[in-house]
Amino acid sequence: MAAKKKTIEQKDLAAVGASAQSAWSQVNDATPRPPRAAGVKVNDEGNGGEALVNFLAEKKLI
Amino acid sequence: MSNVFILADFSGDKATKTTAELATAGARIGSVTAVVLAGAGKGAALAATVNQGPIANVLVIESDDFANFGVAASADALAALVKEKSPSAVLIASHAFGKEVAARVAVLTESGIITDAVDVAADGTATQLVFGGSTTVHSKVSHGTSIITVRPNSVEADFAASTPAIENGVANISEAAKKAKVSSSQPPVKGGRPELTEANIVVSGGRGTNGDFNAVEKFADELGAAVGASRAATDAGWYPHSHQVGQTGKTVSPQLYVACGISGAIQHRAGMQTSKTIVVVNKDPEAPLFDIADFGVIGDLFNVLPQATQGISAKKA
Repeated sequence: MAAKKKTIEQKDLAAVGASAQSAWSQVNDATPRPPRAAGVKVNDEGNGGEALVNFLAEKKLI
Repeated sequence: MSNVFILADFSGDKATKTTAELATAGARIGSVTAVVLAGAGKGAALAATVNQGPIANVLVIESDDFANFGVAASADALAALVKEKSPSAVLIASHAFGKEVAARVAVLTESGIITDAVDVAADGTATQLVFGGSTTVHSKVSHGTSIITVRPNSVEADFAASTPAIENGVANISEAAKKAKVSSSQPPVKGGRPELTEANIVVSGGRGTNGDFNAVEKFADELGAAVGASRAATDAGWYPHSHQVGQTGKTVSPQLYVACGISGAIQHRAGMQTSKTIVVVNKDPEAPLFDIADFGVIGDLFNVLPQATQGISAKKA
């Protein structure tokens, strides 16, 4: 069975009674954020917890 | 100098640090007046706790209607103040209550609104992080008073003590705002940990905890952190849903986010990827969350966390 197709109607802003002035806030710019780079990764060989503490201390988070 | 209103944010009977954050952001635009909405007779005690951050004035509005008629009454009173004093901006904390108040005030005062701002500049331009923190947007209100809700924990607060002039105002609450009455309310049962969305540090556990949050909680307590959980953990009933971090839970943006046994589905990342520093502890080296981690430990959280907890308490001693 073929998919049903509806006709697509196009209207401009004015036809639905809106205009750029109807907006009460305006966007100045939108920029994608740079993706986060992966940082250091360590294998836990019995001292993973200590490595974690050292990292936190280095970053002054503790 | 223009005038800026902030809606003072309280937890119990004390101003939260979000209040100081709002004041810090507001002071960039103009002189800050903190509006305190309080129950009858309770205003003075609440206002006395609004003493951190660059606040020039405190305006106390007392009415029992705030408790009886919830958001609608608060919004009505604030809108009346905005109409009377026409500040150039109104900053409100971006939690469920704050956003609803802001939306109603914006409609009542015919003003534009910007929600979930993470920063506000001196000219009223707000910065928002949208699409799960992947896009930065700068926008500005172009009509009426700028009504902006600011996400807790995103503006670095100036906690300097201030001694604002306290003044009392009259509550103007219309009958229209009294159509839904609050019949009873109960404060949430609170543990000793900080509120998830406000915490500087959040430690979260996921499927990898296997239902045992002990190690996660101990580590969190050592750091003075809030405890979060992934959807896998809350759906399994291991932790309350109110602690869920992610698209369908809470969005957090702490200084440090520690994910333990969470692989990092995109829905979880949407709730935490704006955290300043991300640490991941996971047995699976392929876990996608490692890709956005500043520091990752490939290992069993039941070994790593207790060791780290011990290490931190040793450093403190």
